[in-house]
Amino acid sequence: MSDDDDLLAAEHALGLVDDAAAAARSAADPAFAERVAWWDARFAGLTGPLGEEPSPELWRRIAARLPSNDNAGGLLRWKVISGGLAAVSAIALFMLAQRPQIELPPQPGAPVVASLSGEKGSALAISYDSTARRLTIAPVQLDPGKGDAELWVIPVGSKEVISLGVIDAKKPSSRQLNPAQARLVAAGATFAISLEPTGGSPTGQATGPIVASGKLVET
Amino acid sequence: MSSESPQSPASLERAALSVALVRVGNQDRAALQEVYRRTSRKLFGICLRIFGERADAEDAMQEVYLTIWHRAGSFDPARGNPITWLATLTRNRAIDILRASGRRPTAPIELADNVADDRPDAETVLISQGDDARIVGCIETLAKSDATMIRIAFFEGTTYADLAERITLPLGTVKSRIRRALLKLRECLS
Repeated sequence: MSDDDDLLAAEHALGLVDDAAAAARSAADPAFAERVAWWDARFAGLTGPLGEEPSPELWRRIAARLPSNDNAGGLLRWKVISGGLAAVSAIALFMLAQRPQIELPPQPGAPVVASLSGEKGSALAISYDSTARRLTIAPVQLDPGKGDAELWVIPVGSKEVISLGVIDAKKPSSRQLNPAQARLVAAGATFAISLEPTGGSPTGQATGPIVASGKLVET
Repeated sequence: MSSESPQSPASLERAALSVALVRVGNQDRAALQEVYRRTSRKLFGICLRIFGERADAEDAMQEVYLTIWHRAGSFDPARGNPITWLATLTRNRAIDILRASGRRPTAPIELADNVADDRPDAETVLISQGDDARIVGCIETLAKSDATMIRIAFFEGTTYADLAERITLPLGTVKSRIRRALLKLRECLS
């Protein structure tokens, strides 16, 4: 890419030039769009030092504007959370107002999270929501080659390695665990990914190399 | 790309935010609340820097989180840092609102002025952009007036024409100075 084109990408990322023309170029030219994204990410670093606590009631103003047709699990938990919030709001909001540097406390049932990494760094992120028994898997850098990536859990205080099945290595996915699996997954448990033949390990044990692992923690 | 260790707080924060965004993409309200809890301080900092007034910044925050709600499905954890994605979305959405409102700052800019002292605090360092934060150091290597112009373009969404008018310099001069500064910046960042 010429300097002129790259400068145009930077100018577009900053909004210095006519947006419509540069946006059209971005839509038609993937290499240009990639440079705009590169500049976007660099300029976003300018926000790194910024941070300021908004008013405690801002979240409720946002929540009130969300569409109501979300999924059932989310809605149920939502009701539980807002009920709880209402009950403690007077005192909690007063305290928040007095101590503006304090973060909102984790909401009840906040998921536990694992960052799984291997030799090349972060490979995937997984969260587990025990209320809905839902596992959400976000691949970051995971290449299963010609086979499949299989997810394993080593429960707290155990040396057993138990399969949770093959996962999609390319795009985010989520699945509900059955009650037996759910008992194995909690803060302190370790997740691991092994490379297996297509369809997963034929033996019930990991047969290929472990390419990433990480512990589930509360965050 | 990142030098942080796998279980560092920054890496966990990034993992937690990535999966929370994926869940928001599946229309999970509790996940949006989690994203809010993890990011409202930083994103409000951005809105406040752009609008100057808390009330305006909080109005913009509502639009920002509604936009996150609608666009989280397009966030790909494999392609980028969730904080960077959120910061870019927030800045762009806030600038759109600022432009649409017609309340853009029009006061002349004195390039000799000190820019705001944007030193990081502990919390924002925790969720900082890793390598992307290099620009904070790189921009300091530019002439102070060039750094100021780039910050103004970023935080106020000014076009070349606006900048020229407010700095009271010819358009061509402003353009060539910024383009030279951008090339220097790229060299420092690459």
